[in-house]
Amino acid sequence: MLDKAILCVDDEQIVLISLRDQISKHFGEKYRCEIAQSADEAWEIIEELSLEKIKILMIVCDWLMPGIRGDEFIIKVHHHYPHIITVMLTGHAQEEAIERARQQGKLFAYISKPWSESDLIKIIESGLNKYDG
Amino acid sequence: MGIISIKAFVEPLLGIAAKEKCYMSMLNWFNSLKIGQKVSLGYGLTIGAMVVGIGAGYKIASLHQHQANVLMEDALEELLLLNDLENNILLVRNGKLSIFPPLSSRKVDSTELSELLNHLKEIEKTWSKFNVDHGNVNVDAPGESLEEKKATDNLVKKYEELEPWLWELEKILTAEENRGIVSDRIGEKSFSQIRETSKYSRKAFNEFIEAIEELKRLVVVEHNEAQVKSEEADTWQLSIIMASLLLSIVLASGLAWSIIQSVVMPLQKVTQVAQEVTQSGKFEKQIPVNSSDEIGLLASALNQLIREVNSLVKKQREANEKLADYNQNLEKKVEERTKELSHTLRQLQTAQVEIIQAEKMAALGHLVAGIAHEINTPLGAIQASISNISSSLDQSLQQLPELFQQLSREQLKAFCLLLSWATQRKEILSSREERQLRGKLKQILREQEIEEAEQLGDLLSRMNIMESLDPIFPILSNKSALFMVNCAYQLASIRNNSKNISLATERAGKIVFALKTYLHQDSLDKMQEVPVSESLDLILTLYQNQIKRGIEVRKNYESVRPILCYVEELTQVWSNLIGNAIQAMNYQGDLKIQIQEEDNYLVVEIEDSGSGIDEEIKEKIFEPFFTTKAPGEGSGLGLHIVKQIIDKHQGQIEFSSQNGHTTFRVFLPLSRSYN
Repeated sequence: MLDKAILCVDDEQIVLISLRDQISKHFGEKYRCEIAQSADEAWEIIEELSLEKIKILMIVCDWLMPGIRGDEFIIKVHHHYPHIITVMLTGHAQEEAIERARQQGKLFAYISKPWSESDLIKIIESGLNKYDG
Repeated sequence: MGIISIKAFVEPLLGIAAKEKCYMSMLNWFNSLKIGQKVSLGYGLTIGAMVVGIGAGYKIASLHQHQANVLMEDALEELLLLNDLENNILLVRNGKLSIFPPLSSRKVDSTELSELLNHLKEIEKTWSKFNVDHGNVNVDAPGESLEEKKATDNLVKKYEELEPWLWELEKILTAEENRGIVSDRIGEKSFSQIRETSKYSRKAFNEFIEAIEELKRLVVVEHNEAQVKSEEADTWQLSIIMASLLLSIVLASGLAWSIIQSVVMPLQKVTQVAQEVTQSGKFEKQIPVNSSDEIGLLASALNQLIREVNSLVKKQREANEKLADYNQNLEKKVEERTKELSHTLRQLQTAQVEIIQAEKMAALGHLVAGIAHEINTPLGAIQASISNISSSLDQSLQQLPELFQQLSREQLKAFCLLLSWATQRKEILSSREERQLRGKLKQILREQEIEEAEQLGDLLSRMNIMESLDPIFPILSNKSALFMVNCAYQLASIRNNSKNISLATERAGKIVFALKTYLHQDSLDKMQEVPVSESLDLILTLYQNQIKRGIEVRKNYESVRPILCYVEELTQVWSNLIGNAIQAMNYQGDLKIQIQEEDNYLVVEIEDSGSGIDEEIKEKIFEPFFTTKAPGEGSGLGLHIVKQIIDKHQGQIEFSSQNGHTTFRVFLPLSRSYN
C-alpha cells in the first residue's frame, strides 16, 4: 500500500480527472493521487489520509475556487503542514496573490492553464526531488 | 454786474484818489454782506440821504431866514429911529422958526416952548439910542456895507456939528421957560441969540437932515436886500429838500438797480445755468460766484451740485460705457460659454457614455478573473484530455492483443459490460461521491477476498461504476483482474476524455459567446425589442463559475412581452445587480430571479439571501463612488449607473433589505413598446 500521496484541488471535476490521469500515469506506482473539488473537501482528505498514516507530499491547487482563494488555502496549508510542497495550477490568478502565496505560503511553483503534461510532470518531479533531498 | 453798479456808485464817492486796495476791500466787504444786509444798507443810505437832506435844507434855510429877519428888523428899527430923529429935528427947526420968526416979534406961547423943548429932549434921547445901537457900524457884520458906514459916520459928524446948536437952543429955551413968560413975549435977548444962531444952525440942520435922508435911503436898500435874502433862504430850503429828495430817488434807483444786479441778475444767471445744464445734460458749466451772500451760497451750492452731478454723470457714463462694453462682451461671452457648454455637454455625454463603458469594463475586469479561468479551465481539461486519450490509446493498443488472448468468452462478456458501464455514465460524480464510491467498492472487493482490492477499487471508482459488481465478477476474480480492469479503464478513459473535450468546448464556447454578446451589443442609442430573460440569462452564464460553487439559482420567468430597451445597458444593470447579489451572499446561498408584469410595468426581481444592506447606508447606495468594497475592488459607480440606465428607460428601481432577504425590483414601462 502506497503511503505517500499527491492531492489535487480544483472546483472543476473534468480538470481533476485529467490531472489525476496524468499524475497516476507517471507516479501511480509510487504515490497515490487524491482529488478534491473544494478546499473544505481538501481538508477532509488531509485529515483522512493522516488517519490512514498516509503522508501528503504535494498539493496542486487552483486559485479561483468557491469559498477560498488558492493563495489563502496555500498559506493555511503551509501554516499547518509546512512540509507539504504546493503548486498552483490555475487559469487566472492575480500577480499579487501569487506573490503573497510565494512569500507567506512558500509556493513552490505556478502553472497556468491550459498546461502541458510534460511541464506538469517536470514540476511535480522537481518538487518531489526537493522533498526527497 | 452787481460789482459794476456798486463800482459806479461808489467810485464818485471815493473819488479818483481812492486806491484800488481800498476799493477792493470795500467791494469785498460789500460782497460779503447778506442780501438782507445789502438791502438794509441801501434803504439806510436812501432814507438817511433824504432825512439829512431835508433836515439840512430846513436848517440852512432857517439860518438864512433868521439872518435876513435880523437884518430886516435892524434896518426897520434904524429907519424908525432915523424917522423919529428927522421928525423931531424938523419939528425943532419948525418950532424954532415959529417961536422965533425972523422978521416979527411974536407972542410966545409957553406950551409951544415946552413942546419945543420936549422935541429937543426927544432928539437927544433918540440920537443917544441910535448912536448906541447903530452909531458904530461894523463893516463885517451881515447886512452892513461900507457905504452905510460912511453914511452913518457922516450922520454922526453932522450931528456933532448940529449938537452945539441944539444945546444952545435948549439952553435958551430952558432959560426962557425958567424966566417964565409973563408977557407972553420972548425976551429980546433970547430972541436975538436965536436969531444970531439961526444964521449958522440952518446949515447944520439941513446937512443933518440930508445925512439922515441918505442913511434912510441906504437902510431901505439894506432892508430890501434882507427881504431878498429872506426870499432866497426860502428858495434854498426848497432846493435843498428837492435835491435831497432827488438824491434819495437816485439812491433808491441805484439800490433797486444794485439789487437787480446783485440779486436778480445772479439769480437769472443761476437759473439760466441750471436750465442750460439740465436741458443740455452737460454738467460742465459753473456759475461765477462773486459774493458770499445767499445767492453766492446758492451759486456755490449749485456749482457743488453740478460738479457732483457731473462727476456722477461721468461715473454713470463710464459705468454705462462699461455696461455697454460688458453687454457686448457678455453676448460674446455667452456665445462662447454656450459653445463651451455645449462642447462640455457633449464631452459630458461622451464622458457619461465612457463612464458607463468604463464601469462595464470594470465589472468585466472583475469578471475577467472568472472568465479567464472559465475559459482556461476547459482548455486545460481539453489539453489534458487529449494527452490522456493518446496515452490511453497507446496503452490500449499495446494491451489489447494480450487482453484478447487472455479473455475467455465469459470474461469478454463481463469486460464488455464493464466497458459499457464506464462509457455510458451520464453524470460525472463529484470527487466526494467518487471517494465514497471508492470506499464502498474496496469494501465489497475485500469482502469477496479479491486480491489488489485497493487498486481495483481505485480504478472502478474512477470509472464511476455504481452498478452491482456481480456481473463482472468473472473478471475481478481472475488473477489478471487488475490488467483487465486497467484495460477497460484505458478504453473508457479514451471515451470519457473525448466526452470531457466536448463538454469543455461547449463550456468555453458558451462563455465566449456570452462575453462577445456582453461586449458587442449594438449601438448605445438604438432601442431594441428583446425579451428581458435573454439578457438576464446572458449574465447568469457569465457569472456561472461564481454561481456554481454554492449558489442555487431559482428562476421564475413569467411569459412577458418583449420590451423596447437599450439591450447593452440593461444587461449591465443585471450584471451589477446579480454580481452584487453573489458577493453579498459570499458565493453561498439562494439567488431568486423573477420576471413578471405589474400594472403596465415589467418587473424584474432579484433576491439574494445575503446579510442585507445596513440601515445607515441604504440612502447612499445609489450615490456615485459609494462602495462597501475594499479599495480597488469596486468603483462605487455600479448602482449609480444602474439608476441612470433605469432612469433612461423611464423606469424605477427600489429595494428592500433585511438579513437573509435583499430584493431589488426594477420596473420597466411596458407601454414604451407601443410608442
